[in-house]
Amino acid sequence: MSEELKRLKNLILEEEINSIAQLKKRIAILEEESNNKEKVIDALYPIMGNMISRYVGESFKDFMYDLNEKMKLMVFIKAFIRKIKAKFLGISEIELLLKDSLIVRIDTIFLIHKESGLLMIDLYRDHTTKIKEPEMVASMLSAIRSFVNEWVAENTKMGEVNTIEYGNSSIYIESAGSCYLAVVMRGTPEFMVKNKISKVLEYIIEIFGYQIGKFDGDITKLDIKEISTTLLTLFDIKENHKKTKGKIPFLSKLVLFILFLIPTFWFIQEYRENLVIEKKRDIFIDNLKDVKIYDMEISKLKNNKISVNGFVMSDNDLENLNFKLQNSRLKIKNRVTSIESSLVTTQIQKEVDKSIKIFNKIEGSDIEYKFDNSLKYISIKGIVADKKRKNSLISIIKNIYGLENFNFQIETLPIFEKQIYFDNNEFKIKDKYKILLDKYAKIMLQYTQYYVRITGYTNEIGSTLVNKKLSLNRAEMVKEELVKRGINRDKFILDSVASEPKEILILSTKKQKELSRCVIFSWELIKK
Amino acid sequence: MIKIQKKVILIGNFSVGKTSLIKRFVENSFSDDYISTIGVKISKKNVQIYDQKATLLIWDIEGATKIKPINTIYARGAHGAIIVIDVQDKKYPEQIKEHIRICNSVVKEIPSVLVFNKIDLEPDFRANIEELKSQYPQIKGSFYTSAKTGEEVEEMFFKIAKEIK
Repeated sequence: MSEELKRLKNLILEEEINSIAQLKKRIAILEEESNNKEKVIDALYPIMGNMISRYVGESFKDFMYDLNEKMKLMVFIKAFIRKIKAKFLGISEIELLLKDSLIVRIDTIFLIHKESGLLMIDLYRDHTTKIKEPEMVASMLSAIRSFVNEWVAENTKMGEVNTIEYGNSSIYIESAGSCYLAVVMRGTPEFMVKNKISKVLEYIIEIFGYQIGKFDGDITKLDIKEISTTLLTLFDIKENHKKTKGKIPFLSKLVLFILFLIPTFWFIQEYRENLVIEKKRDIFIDNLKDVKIYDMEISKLKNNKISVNGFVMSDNDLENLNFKLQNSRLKIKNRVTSIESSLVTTQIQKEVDKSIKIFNKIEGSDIEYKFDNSLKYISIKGIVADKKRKNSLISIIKNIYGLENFNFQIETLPIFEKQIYFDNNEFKIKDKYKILLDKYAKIMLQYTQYYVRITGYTNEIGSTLVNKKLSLNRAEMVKEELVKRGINRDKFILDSVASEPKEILILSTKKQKELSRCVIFSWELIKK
Repeated sequence: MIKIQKKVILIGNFSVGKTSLIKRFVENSFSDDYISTIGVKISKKNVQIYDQKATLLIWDIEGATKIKPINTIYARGAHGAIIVIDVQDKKYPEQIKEHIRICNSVVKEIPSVLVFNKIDLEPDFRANIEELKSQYPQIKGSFYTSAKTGEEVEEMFFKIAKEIK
């Protein structure tokens, strides 16, 4: 507790703290003689007045214990509330403290017919609480009740008699239309006890009201067993009452209090934040003036920040807005976009899309792209037939206006650089070409989406027909070798030419003749 | 607790001997002090009528005086009434009528018996009640009692107990 609170406590409770201290001293002395009731009364009378004689009953030790417990719990708030209550009710705080200490225990319950005063049911906690002549007591109680109601209450307009106190006990009367409950208890009933009694009587009237109304003195006409069962629940009140005075309810109260505080704080916080946002919003709108934001939406972010969504018509407006916000000291996150930029973005995307589509139509090309509007970034991935085409693609993309960041992952198809040569008039493949065939098979397995054209050639000696057949045989032989190496038979296009390949025309005649007996590989760029 | 209880009111003018009458009859009663405080004294009598036991709660209502009328509130819910008259009271028919009128104003024509008390003082007294009986059918009988001798006291209480059963 802070020093201020301590000072405040001392100021407010000065008187009480002194009397409690006095009381404690006296109790300490009295605890040694707690069996001597008279001494106790005499010792405490100066502080508590005649209240003490009422509370010093048979269970004096229980009472002392309870009172001491109460004193330990003399926390600031509790004492303060008690003080206010005492002022309000016009009784001393000590009396209230005593009331707190007194345990209410219900000993006897009478259900009495209101009009005749006849006893319908009498129940007792145990044999020690049994009352002699209950019928007479019930009648006498009814007479007293009638007397008070008739002669006193009528004149003072105070309503019915509720509690008759005697010694350290009281008779609490809860009255319904045709009957009333007289509950004899140790201590004075408080709200909780009264409420429980009232609930029980309500239930009895609801269920058994008719037979009670018709009661003519014959108890056998009542459902005594059922009514008694209901009434017996009242004997449990003591325990319930005690519980509410324990430490756990105090904790529950604390938890409830905290639970109440959380939404309250949240609400206040929310309200304050909303005020801040409202204010910011007003300043922001005032500052806008020449910048028109369409579909404007202002939303709350953390730490009293707000964000503005919407769009402006031009990049110029957007720049203008950014400038204003930077200089305004308002913590506003700008999420406004310019339609102009959006239009350009669409334009870029269209351009990229068109270029890629055209490229993919070129034989051997298989290209994909990813475009990020905000970063003006493009990533291109895929394969083209050769370096020339690759360069051409890169150059086209780079020239699209508005793109700033590029990532190219473009492959080109490998070239079948070497041919397989044959002896004169032969189509048998020489052993030395096995390594080359392995290599080509590997390439083909890598690019299975493409076909391979195998063209057989001959020199120009001999008949064309024979040469044509020879060149085809040469191509077939190569194909079979590749099929042996795992290439699908369908992936080949065979071709035969009864002359030498054009590429070797420039060579010498002898060399030309040798080199024209060959098979040439090339990519057939038709996709699967 | 006996299963059947009945409330019987005992009414009569001041000093007709109601309290002495009760004392001859009942087993238990509260101290006489109460009557001067709130105007009623409660007594109890267990009776057996035929094969059934019943408890009579007798409300001895303080008689009217010049300054204080009888408190009719105590007659509420009564099952029977005992109207006590002093045999020396010559205006007894009016007294009886007045008591019945008071009773009827609070409870609906409950069985009643007339008790002419202190018969020991005028042993030859006999009341003419035939007219009253025909006028008030709730009058079930009349007794000449003496609290001193106990004459007809027991009979009177049994009669009312039988009538209200």
